[in-house]
Amino acid sequence: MDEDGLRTLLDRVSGDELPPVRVDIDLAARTGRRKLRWRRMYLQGAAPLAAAAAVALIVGLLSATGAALHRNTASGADTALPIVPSEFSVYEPFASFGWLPAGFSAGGLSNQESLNPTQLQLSASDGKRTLTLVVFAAGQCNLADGAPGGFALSCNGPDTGWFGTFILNGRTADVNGDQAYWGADRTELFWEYGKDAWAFVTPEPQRCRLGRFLCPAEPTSWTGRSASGKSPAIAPSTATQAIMYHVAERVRYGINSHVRYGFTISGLPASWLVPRLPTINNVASIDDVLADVVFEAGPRMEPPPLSISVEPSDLSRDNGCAAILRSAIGYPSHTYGHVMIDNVRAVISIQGTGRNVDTHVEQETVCTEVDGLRVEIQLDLSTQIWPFTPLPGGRQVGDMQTLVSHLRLLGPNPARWATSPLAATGPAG
Amino acid sequence: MSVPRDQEFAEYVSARLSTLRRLAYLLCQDRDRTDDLVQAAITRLYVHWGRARAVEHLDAYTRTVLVRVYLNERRSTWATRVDLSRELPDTAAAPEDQDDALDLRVALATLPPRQRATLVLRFYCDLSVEQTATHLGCSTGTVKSQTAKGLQALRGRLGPVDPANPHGLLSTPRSVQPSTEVRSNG
Repeated sequence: MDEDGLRTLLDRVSGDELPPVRVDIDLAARTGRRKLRWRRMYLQGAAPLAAAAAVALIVGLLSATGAALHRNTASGADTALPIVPSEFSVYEPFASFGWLPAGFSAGGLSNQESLNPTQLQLSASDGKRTLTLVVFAAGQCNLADGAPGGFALSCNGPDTGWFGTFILNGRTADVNGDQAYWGADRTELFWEYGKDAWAFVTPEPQRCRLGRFLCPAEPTSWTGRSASGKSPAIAPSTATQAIMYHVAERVRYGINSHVRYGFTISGLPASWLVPRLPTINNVASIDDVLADVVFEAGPRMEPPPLSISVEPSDLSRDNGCAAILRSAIGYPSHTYGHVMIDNVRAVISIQGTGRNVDTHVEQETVCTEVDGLRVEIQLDLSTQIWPFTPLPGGRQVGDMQTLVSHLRLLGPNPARWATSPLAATGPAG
Repeated sequence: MSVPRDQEFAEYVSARLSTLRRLAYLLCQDRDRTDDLVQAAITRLYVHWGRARAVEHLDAYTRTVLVRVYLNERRSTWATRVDLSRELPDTAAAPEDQDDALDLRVALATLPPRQRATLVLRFYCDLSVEQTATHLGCSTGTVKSQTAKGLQALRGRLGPVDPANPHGLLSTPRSVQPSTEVRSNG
């Protein structure tokens, strides 16, 4: 068989009659919204990450080779070139904004846009416009010439992150002495912030292409294009480009912010992973502690089925537990129950049963206030794998009571919180 | 969630649904799993719609999501899939289900998931080695070696195919060389 023969046969096989369509686009949107809701609800009232960063100390590792000092902090002081790891810590962010335009605040580590050990993404917004900063770990991107525009940057990434080949528009002025390039239509600014390590900043909404799908309404002042949403991409305005440069020059590298958890959890199966950096939603800085993080774990990387958020009650936002539980309703087979957390009775919302496995609980949500803490737990098994390692002692997969019996709350004072939420691992699973 | 977001998502997926189902079917080789795969992929696409709509090639992005959903699913759910395969299909086989195409389906089904995905991307989607590598998240060398191995495995099962007679396998084998691209790196 040669390639032409295979092409022909694949074309033919692809023409096989398929069963009537069972794909439900509306269900995909509903399920997707449910996944987004858990994270997005926080961003609306997020306190500035920049405020947290302002009090954080730069503790990035210094170059052992004495590399040239050319990293500017927000205050303009030079620091040493950080050693960029090939994988980021899943517990502490490696980069943060050092400067943002007036009116902008960082929405925290953008969980919606995903974080993982090889790629860190942060976003900041003024409510209408968003600046997105993507920082790749070392070795994830490869700069090559020969592309139509002169250069291309190919970056690896998970399917939940940024990946692909970026066509570069040509080299531009260095960012802190590092080589930098504009993207194809200047909607991204790329720079090599460390050896074999790249980052880029991009304004959103950004591009607009012909066709209605990719042209949301957006402020003309940001991208410089018409507001009709029908025109092709136009380079950002000169002012926006200057902002992108300013942001790029002041990115802080190294572990600047420490994350602590208001709980510990034990008994998770050893096979469960902590797949990525914690989501820092409603950031509050207490000393050098970033409070209110969403810890995620599960038997697979994406999406992890377990999310735990514990924060001091006085940091809580407007979204009450009742609203959260209400919004968790999405399936006909929805029921309520109760679990006990530190002797406090909490409402649990249980949703759905699997199509193929009768006992497959698709989602359980708990939200309550206990001992000065607001506790939100979501156990979402709707897209999880089988065979599934249940929680030890669980009567069935998704037994929230079993989960919370392994949860230890650490009180409202973040100074006493843990640097790792994993108290102990459970039996191998 | 904004209505425009949902609308544009629905319109985009509706327009691409047939294409996605064809690709999903080629990847999973299971009529009953095809829509499950597409459903999982578009759900993930919805979650990341904000980014997806901004990428240079949305179709390529969507295709990558589908391929990776397939690979992740294959990697982690084989036990479930074995169970599911015991279920009777709810539709009869297509009437044009002749031996040659059936042989190809069987042969494709025996390939490891990544190898199958590599062949489908290279020779059904007509992607370059580099594009395929991006979709699969691997090196170009891996794509080339997977392509060579996949073709070799299919040759072993099927023998050569006459492009001029695509509806049937050649009765007389002929010598076929892998492409230069494959040969040089495979």
